[in-house]
Amino acid sequence: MIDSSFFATLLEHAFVKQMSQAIFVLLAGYLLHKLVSLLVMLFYRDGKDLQRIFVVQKMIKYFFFVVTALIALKIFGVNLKVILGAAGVLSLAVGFAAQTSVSNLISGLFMIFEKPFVVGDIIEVTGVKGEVLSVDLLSMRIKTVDNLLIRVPNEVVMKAQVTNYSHFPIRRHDMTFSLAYTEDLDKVKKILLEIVENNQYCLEEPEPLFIVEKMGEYFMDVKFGVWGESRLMLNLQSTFGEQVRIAFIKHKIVLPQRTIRIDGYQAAKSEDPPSIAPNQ
Amino acid sequence: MLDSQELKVFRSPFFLEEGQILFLRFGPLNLYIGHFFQEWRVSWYSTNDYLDNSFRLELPFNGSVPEILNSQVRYTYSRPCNSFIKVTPVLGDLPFVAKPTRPLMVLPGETVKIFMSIPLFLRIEIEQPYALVQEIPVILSPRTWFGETTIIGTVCYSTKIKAVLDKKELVHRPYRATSQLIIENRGEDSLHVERLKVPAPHLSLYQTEDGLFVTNVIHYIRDPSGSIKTVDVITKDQDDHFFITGPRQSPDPSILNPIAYFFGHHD
Repeated sequence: MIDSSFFATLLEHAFVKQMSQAIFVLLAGYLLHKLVSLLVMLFYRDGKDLQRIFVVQKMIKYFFFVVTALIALKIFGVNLKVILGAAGVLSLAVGFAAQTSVSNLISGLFMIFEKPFVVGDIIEVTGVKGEVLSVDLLSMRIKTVDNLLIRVPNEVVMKAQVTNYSHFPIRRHDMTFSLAYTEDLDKVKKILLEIVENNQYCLEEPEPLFIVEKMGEYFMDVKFGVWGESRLMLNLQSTFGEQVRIAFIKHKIVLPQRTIRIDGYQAAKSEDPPSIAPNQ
Repeated sequence: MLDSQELKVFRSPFFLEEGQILFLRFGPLNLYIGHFFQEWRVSWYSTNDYLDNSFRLELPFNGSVPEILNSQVRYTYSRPCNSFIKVTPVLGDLPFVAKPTRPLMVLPGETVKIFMSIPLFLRIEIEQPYALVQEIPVILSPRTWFGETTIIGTVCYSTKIKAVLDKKELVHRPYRATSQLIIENRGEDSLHVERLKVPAPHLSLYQTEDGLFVTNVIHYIRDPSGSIKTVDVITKDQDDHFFITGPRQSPDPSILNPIAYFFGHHD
């Protein structure tokens, strides 16, 4: 049978005393970390911003880990100044060695808090267009429409121009048609508006845009912009173009051809072909 | 001529023995439901003619099995299935927007009542407890945007039948529900009502004694500052009506504290 005085003596032993204090600190730090994490979860209880919750929790975890570890070391009489000094030098060395990673990390933090896009958005960055699968601390992952996974470093995203196609609930799909000057624009507009009315992916309002954008040499460019839901834009694009093609053929809306008239030109003999084709 | 009493058939489930087919003509929608060996088949098509006023129920349907029943959705079981099926009219999953027949100005201090007719969906549920198998829009309504800007607003269905001030101007159509909107202008200037929105997902559907479908009354109040701050969904007026379905979504701040875009914009 062990005498209770044995424990009293043991606890009075310096190392055991320090050890028990350190364990207490670590345990208290762990519990405090759990409590703070819980509070963060309650703060973001709608659960919509999983990426931000993930980062904040990671930061809390590392903060508590470092602080409790330092306190525990101090209990054992370790000189923290030396450790912090060494850590400073070490972080400088690591910083130089892992410059890109650190840059990506900082960019990742900025992106997560600035939120130019969220998981699920359709974006275009550095020529890559697709759905955002994840925004991690070092890189983001994009799934393209042809099912490729592309990893883009956060640093690149921060420096590049990012187009978010799903930020707003609706957006406009623009098409440009080259028409002959002889074409009846009212007729063309009526045809296009009829297509809008019958296409389930087009929105009636805001009103479609119809403008003559450019007066060319032998044609005019007409821009037609139709509004649709951002999430269904691909369906709109794929159906609308085809409907326009069919309607233009049906109503004999032909695309203009360049015609060059050469004054004084006479019909060439078969053995003497013209140097310039009459129609190009 | 529509006998609106016939619309009361939706109040109880339909009983289809194995091998029987139900045919329902509900406005422009043609719906077939077949009870076959260990399966239900549900097929439909809509002519999308919004003026279609017809209603016809054939149970059992005596014609030959339409080809469409062999080509569309089947719900199969590993055992003989229950013979009851529920077909219930419900309000749409998005709000509906309509223009008034004529440009409308609500003068300061005035209150107007406006009536809108919105198309219904049909909800089909099988087994007990009933499980949703399909929701079918009776007519495919085009979509539109309802908001002051292209950033703030909602995607809604647009309806071709315009909002009217006199309820008698609305033709009773079996596949539509009537919504009454009360607009109270407590502002200091006139309120220009360009378009009106019925927040269908937040409303309940009722049936009147004569079988017609109605929704809750919606009360919009424009306060003296000029913004529309209060929307009230009134249910007490429906006490003498038969309750069909409740709201799809509970009221949220955007409906209870709307801004001016409920009406397009106002002067």
